Amino acid sequence: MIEPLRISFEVACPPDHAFETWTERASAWWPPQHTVSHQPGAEIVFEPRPGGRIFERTPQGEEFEWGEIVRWDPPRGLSYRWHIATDPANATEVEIVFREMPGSTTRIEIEHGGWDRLGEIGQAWRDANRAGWDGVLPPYAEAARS
Amino acid sequence: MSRHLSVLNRAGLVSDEQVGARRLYRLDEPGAEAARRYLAQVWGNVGVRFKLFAENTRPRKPSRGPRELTALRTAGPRSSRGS
Repeated sequence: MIEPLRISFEVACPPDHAFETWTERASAWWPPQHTVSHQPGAEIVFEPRPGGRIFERTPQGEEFEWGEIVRWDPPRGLSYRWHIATDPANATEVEIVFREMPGSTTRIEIEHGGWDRLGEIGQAWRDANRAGWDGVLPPYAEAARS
Repeated sequence: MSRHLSVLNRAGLVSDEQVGARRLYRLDEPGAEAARRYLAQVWGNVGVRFKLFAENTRPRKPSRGPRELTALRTAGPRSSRGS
């Protein structure tokens, strides 16, 4: 099995706000370069239920499917199948846990897996993951505080 | 499918070659390192922007009681910016 990518970092707000920010206000913070349309003003929608769609809607009303909600458990976490810019048959799986920490802080734990079914591309991820993913975010988080 | 491949191409995971009427894609040798860099960049950007936004906004639908709800409505969701 190809090991999932794992990332975690802390955010100075309670889990309910973190969950709401992730799912209801993604349009406000999702990096525009990681949308399908690359259009400013694109709306990002998480339909709040298992089976709900995750999609991008451009100001012109064009929609691009990004994935589908599998588990919906606010404010503790959610998981979704993720096939942004690819065929749904090539979906990977994203699980996000919002863990309450002391001092009104939330630890966000992201696990991005399901690479096995991607064939040769999956093999590339397997090789990439040998180097480990811990610490992807800390330098960025440091920059965000300054 | 071609859109997916063009994304992977831009990410440095595959390279392409036009052969007659067909375009052939193959997995690049340094694809693994490119994949790692690409995903690190994506999740890094996502994480940083999420963190900045979450820490500088307040809940729209607080669950802690009606008094706070009123106060937040008055204050607005972005009032903590710059504090």
